[in-house]
Amino acid sequence: MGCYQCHGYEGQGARPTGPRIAPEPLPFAVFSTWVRHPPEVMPAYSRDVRSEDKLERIHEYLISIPPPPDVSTLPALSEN
Amino acid sequence: MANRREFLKGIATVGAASGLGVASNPATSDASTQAGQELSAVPPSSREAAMEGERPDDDYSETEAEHYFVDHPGSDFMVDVVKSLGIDYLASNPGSSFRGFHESIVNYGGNAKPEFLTCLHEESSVAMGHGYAKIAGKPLAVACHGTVGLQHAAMAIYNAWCDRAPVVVLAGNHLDATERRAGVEWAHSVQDAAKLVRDFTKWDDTPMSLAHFGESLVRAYKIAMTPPMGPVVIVMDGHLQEQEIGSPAPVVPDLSPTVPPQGDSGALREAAELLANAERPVILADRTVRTAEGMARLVALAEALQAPVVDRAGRLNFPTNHYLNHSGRARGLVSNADVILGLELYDFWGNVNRMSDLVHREATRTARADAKLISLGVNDLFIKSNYQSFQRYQPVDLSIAGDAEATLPALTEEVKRAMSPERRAGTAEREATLRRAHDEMRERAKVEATYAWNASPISTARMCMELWQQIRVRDWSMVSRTSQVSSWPQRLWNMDRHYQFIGGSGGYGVGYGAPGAVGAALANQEHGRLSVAIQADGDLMYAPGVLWTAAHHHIPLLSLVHNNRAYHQELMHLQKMASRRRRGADGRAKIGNVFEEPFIEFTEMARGLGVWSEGPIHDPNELAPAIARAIDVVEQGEPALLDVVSQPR
Ligand code: HEC
Repeated sequence: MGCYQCHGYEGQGARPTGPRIAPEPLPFAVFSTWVRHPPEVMPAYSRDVRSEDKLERIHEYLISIPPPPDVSTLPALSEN
Repeated sequence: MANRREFLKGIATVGAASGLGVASNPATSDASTQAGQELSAVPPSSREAAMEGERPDDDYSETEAEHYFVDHPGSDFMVDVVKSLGIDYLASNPGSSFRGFHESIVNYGGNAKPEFLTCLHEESSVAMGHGYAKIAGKPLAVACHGTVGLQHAAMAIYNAWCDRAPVVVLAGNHLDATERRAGVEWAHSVQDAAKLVRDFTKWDDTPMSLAHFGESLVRAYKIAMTPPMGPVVIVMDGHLQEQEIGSPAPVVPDLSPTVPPQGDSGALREAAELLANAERPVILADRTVRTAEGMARLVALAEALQAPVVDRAGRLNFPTNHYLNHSGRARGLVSNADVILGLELYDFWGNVNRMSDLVHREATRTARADAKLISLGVNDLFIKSNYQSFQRYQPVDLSIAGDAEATLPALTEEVKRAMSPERRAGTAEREATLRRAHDEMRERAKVEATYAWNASPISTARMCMELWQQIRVRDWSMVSRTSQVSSWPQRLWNMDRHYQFIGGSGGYGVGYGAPGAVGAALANQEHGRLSVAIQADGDLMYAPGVLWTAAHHHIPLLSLVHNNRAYHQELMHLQKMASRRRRGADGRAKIGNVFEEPFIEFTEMARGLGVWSEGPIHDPNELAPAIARAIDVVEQGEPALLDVVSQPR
């Protein structure tokens, strides 16, 4: 779908290509509005190329992503 | 000099006198010349001479010796000049237009200072020099054909130009048409070799005598090393290289290095007034710091002002763990600032404006309309017309020409003088706020790094932090760019020495990454530093032969291939185009942009080039042990490469 290119395969976000969008994505209505009418850098995805149905499936996938581990459990981050 | 016909006549005489059978028919020899044969004249057959067995090997008549041997070739003098400049390496892919010089390097010069580095592509030679210069603080030399070699080298020279890196390019050529052998030598000759790269070099010359060569090479070195630094080209004429030096021998001129230009004292006072009286000053630094002292100077200025610093990452300008480093907060800081100081900011406009990438491109100023802008740097001192790397024109309130690193102490002194006791009290308050904001920024980055921590393909945060965990206890140097991995090193590593990061290619010419890293690693080697690179996959494929160069010359470098299996930047661009045109729902943006079917096997490639390698690594838990094994190899003095199958950015 192309979302991974800027947001990562798990929606974790990347700098400066796109912010984190998962887990706990925006509520679907807001999410959908955003994807159709992004305000700035992100390309707009119209309905003819990304149906509402496909967006719902993306949204479900983003919800399904488990929460990340806590910093304190990761020595490579916590010992820094 | 005796011409060819005289030579043949001479040989004929010698032949007759000594009873040697020699082809002396000018018609025959002309025919051989036209056929472009390798030897310029037909010498007596050594087999025949040996059979005669009458003359000792080293018994040559004067005429014979004159035609066989050159005792003091011009290229020996050229090597003397190179040596006088303290140039330690000659990075080169061999070529006949500088065969004399090559021979002088290895035999007369003893292949030491400079040592010949065998390169497999001229682009690699120059990019190695580019990376090397940013660590060593001085150039190496590159030798190449003035024609096909310089054409290969051109993109890398452009990168060095954009990135303000000194590289000395020596280009072989045969200017005198009547001296050229037929065939290749004509194809490898050019009227004005340096013209090809003149738009993006600081200076060039085509010396007509050895004395001229000496003066011009020393001048070229001096110009390359004077800020704004940059690449230079000196053409080495084949005839000058191969003929006798003659007498009196030319003298190698002394180098008189130029003290970097400093900003005007009155202008600095004015700048200091503005900065000292600002409520929300911000310092933006790009290609500013070259030395440990330079970094200390920028820290001193920032502390005197209690001003946040945004490091634009052209070099490592400011310690990432200093409480005044606010690089991750650039947008908010710039939009609120009342005074903005830009240090060697090559794109001032882009830092205080934004251009949207929408159908209709609109520019908006992101800085406050009333913000005072001060520029300190050398960019205005040297600019050329054709290539547009100089960026959009930005009007500023105070534009000071001077090398920022050299000028910083004077500016800091002025700031201290301009600071009233009340102002000083104000900055103390600012300090507390800035400390808090810095800590929050770093903590936020840690949390951001946890997302996709266990993902496969491996997240760029995981890759960077597993690497950091093992290098942090060592003396290390990051010799690749970091923007393609979400700048995690700047966000989370403690980078506080100037050599720990050296910026990127400058001109965004792909293919710099791998050779740039090898060159920087070469310069780090004598300091015993562990050089590490996060190597973009697409970049590596431009000229992967540089891995062999690293293996051959035992250059220790740990490369982690950031293998996202794509020209990912272009993939995003294509997705944007497709979305804009409302098509491509079937994922065709991948066409032309991804490395699939088959995947590139970097490990096999690296091993084939003599480099220790493991991978492809898909499981993030396998990363740490693989890095440990690779570091063992690098600490033995060899290059190592891990193929890490990774998230896009
Ligand atoms: C070319 C890069 C790019 C692509 C492709 C892309 N995005 Fe974005 N996205 C962005 C950027 C950049 C932002 C930040 C807002 C901005 O500047 O427009 C963003 C923001 C968002 C946000 C808002 C996040 C927040 O909480 O503020 C959502 C939701 C989102 N994108 C979803 C998607 C989805 C779903 C897709 C695929 C259908 C997608 N994006 C494809 C670049 C991209």
